[in-house]
Amino acid sequence: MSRLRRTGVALLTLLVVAVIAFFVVELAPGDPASAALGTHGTEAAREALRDALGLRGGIVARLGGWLAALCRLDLGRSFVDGRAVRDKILERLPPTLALAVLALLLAWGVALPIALWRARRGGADKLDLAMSLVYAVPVPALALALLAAGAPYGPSFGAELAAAACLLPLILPRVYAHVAAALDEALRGDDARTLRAVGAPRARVVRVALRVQALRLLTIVSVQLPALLSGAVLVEAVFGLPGLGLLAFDALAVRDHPVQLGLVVVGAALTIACTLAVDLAAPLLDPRLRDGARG
Amino acid sequence: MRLARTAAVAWLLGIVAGLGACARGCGGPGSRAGAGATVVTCGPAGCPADERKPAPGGVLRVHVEAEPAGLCDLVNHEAWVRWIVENQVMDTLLEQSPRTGAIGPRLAERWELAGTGASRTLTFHLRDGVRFHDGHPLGASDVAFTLERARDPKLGADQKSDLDPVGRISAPDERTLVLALPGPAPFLLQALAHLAIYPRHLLEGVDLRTAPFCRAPIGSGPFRVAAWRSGVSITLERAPTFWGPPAPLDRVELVVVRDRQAAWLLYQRGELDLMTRLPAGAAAAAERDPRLAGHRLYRHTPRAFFFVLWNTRRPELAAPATRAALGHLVDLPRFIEVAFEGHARPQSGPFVAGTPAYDEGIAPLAYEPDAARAALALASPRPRALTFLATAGSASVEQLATLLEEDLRKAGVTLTIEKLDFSRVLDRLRKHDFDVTALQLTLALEQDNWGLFHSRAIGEQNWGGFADPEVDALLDRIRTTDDADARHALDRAVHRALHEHGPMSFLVAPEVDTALAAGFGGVTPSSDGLGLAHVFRVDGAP
Repeated sequence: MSRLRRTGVALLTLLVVAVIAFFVVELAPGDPASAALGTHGTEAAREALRDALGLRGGIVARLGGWLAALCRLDLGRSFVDGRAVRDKILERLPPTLALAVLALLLAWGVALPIALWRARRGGADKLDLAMSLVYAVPVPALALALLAAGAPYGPSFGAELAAAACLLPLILPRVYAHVAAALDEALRGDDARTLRAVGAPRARVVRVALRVQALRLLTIVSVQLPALLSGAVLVEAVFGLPGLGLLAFDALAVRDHPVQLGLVVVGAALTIACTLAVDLAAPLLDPRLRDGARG
Repeated sequence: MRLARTAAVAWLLGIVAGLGACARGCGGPGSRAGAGATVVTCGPAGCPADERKPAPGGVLRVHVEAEPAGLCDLVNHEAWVRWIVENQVMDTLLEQSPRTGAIGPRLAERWELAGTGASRTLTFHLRDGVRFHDGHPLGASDVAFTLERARDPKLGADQKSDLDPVGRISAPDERTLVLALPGPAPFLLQALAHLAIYPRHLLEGVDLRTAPFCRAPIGSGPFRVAAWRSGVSITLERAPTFWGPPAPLDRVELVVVRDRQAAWLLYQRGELDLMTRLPAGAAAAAERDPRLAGHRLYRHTPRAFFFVLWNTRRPELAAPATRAALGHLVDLPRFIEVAFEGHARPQSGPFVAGTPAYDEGIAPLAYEPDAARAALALASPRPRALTFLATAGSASVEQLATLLEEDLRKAGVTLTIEKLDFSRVLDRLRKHDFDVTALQLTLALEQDNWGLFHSRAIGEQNWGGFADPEVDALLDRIRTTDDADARHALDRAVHRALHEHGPMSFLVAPEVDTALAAGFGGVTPSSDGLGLAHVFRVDGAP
């Protein structure tokens, strides 16, 4: 598939996600005007607010207007404070991105050496079991335990690092399982068998296996992003990181449709961008794909 | 292999130890039994005066649980907004004592009622020399502008119904405001004591709901908004333009910490100085924690109470006897123990206990399961299956629902608990699409219950669909009675009638512990806020 076509498919995917998200958000129960006015608002006030928020027209017309604005990179204005959704998201993006990157580095920093060690010794069932048990660690409780142990609070590298460590239960077992499986497969492959036949040391065999599986491992990185974005809300509250997770939580509570939709679009765009980047980088990692692309 | 096993075991043990520490209240390292924080019990007359000597300056870091969307109380309805803004950033025309309810001067130095009947007027004389934080003078036109905004039915201000009796609003000069009162207006002064005055010169023609002003409001109070770091903190600093005695503190940092348990850890670490509400179990631990010696725990009862609301439109809940029987199945002592660790006061009606409107002769709900079961057996139609609409995330309501479910089951009634977020609960209540729910209501010092119980408020706040001609008549008379004693007598009659008809089962007013770090004094916690303008650093404190 050409790069242009891949990019086109990515944009089309984003459009489909945006349209589905629009219907899900708009048709979900809960009235934004009612949520904004609380217990005291009269029906007149709710009606006036619905008018002001543009909740009157047909859903298809509103979808058209929203998509047209989206094409201009305009995500609309928050129902709650009237601020531009784009500004709100850009303001909250850095802590969450930092958290995601740190969590990925930590997960890979832990998973890769363990998986390599496992590959060198030809498997370890008990280790596999122990890693799967990490899933069972409750993230919010782990976050509170770290805070009790003195982890920093508020926007800082220390708090980001502690929060990233708390996300490990969400991604470490998955990353480890993927890496271990990829290495197992590669070590059973032709390249590894040939190397073993010529008497290459085990470390070299594993190194080659890792190189063979590089593309697959990179793909694993790109698919971790949605899990990290959704997991962010669990730790951002405890460590005082003003990121996208908390913004999403608040937007959901007050039915702030433009912010909810903006977050879905940005989350989807980030995930698609990562996948696309891996896709486009694939020929650099695997010469066979490069040749195939030329052909 | 042995190394891997050891590492895995150590990792798991570490997590288990961490979680164990947290389950004991996240006390952190070094918790020991001993003399800790001092409990200051605040009675109906308020908290005891702080006799310590104040020192000028200092920064107070206050825990804020929910970051408001904006700081305009006309459109931002969260309690935190009022707590941050009222008489701290923005001034009100009058001031109400949070304990006695007495109305005193604030921006208005004095006021007088003149005329009779439909031609009465209420004239306010405004203080001279009051300026907004941007230096612009505050005058009667600003007050008139604010009142007109608050009366706009499209804005949805909480104070609107209290301002309905006001006719024409005029400002003959910048120090005089005249309100025409074609009819009685018993709740007007109280409403004016909780209505922040907005600057006309900045907001004329501006939609408050989307105004950037609400992120950096310009008021005339003792503090001005210096910074707002979204999701992190709001910083107030002493306003040099304030007309009254300057606030003792240089700055107040309102630190947003969503998780109450995390906030308590930060407080213990000395990263917060004031916590308005402690997590479960923290107060008892603080009293024993020697690291918190010199800290104060202000134990007070805000004007908020829990109640069970029955949908009187459901045929099986229409009869007062059936609702009363169901109410007697609420195990109040157990609810107080489970949800509030024994720190809550039973409440028998929708008025502030200890005020003249509250009839002390009416006993709170008694837990009488046998009598309730007998009464339910005679009910026609008999409730067999009910759904309890619970606000997700409200631990107390969820605990209540669980207790009620157990007792109703023994009485042959199946209670299904449906958890929804508050906004959806509200939607369902407005449509009367529920059987039973439990909510918490914060009362005004003098509570006008017209909206909650009058039949004409069905579709608005009278979510239970309660309609009774006797109660309607009483509520109407309260709204047209200016004489306070006569009004309070009517309030007590409403209290009795509601006790008899049982549209709600009134439950408890929980106590709250507010923690203040050693080195600070002057906190006066109440439902109206913390009185930050009076908080001071104690002289000689580090």
